[in-house]
Amino acid sequence: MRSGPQDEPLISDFSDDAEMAPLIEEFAQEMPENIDRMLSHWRKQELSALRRAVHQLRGAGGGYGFPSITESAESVEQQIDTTPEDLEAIGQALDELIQLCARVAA
Amino acid sequence: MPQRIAEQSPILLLIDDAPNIHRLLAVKLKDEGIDFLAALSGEEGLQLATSHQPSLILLDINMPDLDGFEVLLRLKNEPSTMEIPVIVLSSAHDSELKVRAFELGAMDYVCKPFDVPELRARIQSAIRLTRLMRLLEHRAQIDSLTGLWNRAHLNKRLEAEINQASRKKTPLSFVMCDLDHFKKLNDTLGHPAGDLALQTFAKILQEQIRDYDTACRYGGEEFAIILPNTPVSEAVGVCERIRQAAEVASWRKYPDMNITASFGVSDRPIEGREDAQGWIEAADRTLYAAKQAGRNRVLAFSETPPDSKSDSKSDKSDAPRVRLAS
Repeated sequence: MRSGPQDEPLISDFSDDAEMAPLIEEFAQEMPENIDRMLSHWRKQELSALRRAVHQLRGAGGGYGFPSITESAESVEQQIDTTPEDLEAIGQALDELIQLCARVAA
Repeated sequence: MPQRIAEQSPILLLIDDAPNIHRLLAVKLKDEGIDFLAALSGEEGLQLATSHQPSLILLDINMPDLDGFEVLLRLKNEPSTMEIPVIVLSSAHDSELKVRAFELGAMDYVCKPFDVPELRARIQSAIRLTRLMRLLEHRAQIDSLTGLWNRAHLNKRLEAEINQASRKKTPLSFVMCDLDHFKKLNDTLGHPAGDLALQTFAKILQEQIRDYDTACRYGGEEFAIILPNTPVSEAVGVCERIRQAAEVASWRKYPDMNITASFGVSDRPIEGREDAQGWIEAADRTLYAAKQAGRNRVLAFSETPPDSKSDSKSDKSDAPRVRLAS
């Protein structure tokens, strides 16, 4: 197994905001579910459902202090919108997003 | 009578399919003095907008089923929700979408992920602007001398009540009334006395009508009353009470002043004109007949309205056929 930045927990920009702590915790707890949902849509090639799930992360990520999730989700969305036939590119972008999501820590 | 605009805490309706956006905003806006309403779909949002009449709507664009643009279109096409300001929230940054949102009637456009202080400021600004617009709209419809609604409000309100009455099949009565010999009063006692007479009469109107009635100053010494859900006989009773109260009013400053008023009551428009103007015309003709019949009285519109009120001065048979109210 590789070690390095990929395995480091992803900390919210708002981690020192007491008001945000319970929100971030909930956001982190939902991540496995979000990842499962995206993977399941991906496996079934349900691109519009996948895009919707990704879009929700894009809208919320930055708000919870995870701007990298918003950026990464945006590029998945763009791949789906511009080259829906290029499944390899979508898969790659999605993989990056899921890596980030998996590192989200409360 | 015109009410002051209540300073209750504004209600914000958030329409977004992502629950985590709801949680985030509920926490981030909790100190803003705003009541929250949450809708997780466009359909639900439209229902809540109609039923709760929020002060402001935050609307996500990208939603399954009914998307934000469609919701915005429906909000702006529905009379009961068209004036509620909408701030569009979207992760899409292209100016084409922003332009489209503004064209559909959005007040503002905020990109996700939003910067919370900025969103707060935009929300407060939208609420402030809306409050100001409502205040101005309210003030523009109030007569400054008497505090009654003015003619601009009357036309709007009468139109609405006519529609309501025909939809619900309920009776509607409309009254035009006028202070008798007002010009003479102004000429003999002066304009301040005339103003006082108008203010006193307006106060009597407000005291005698019910909460759901609308009294307006139509112009000069002419007033109008809309009485929803009221048969003509009942409306005549209300007018009779106003007439009597006006007759006995007295003023310390002008002991010689007395006022009387004439009333024309109608429960229908003139034939062939179902709009507000037709109703005003019917009540106005009846008022004219009340004047002709000697003033200081209440008359009700006849079932077969005359064609014209002209030339009836000399020829009694040309006067509108009315029945005496009392």
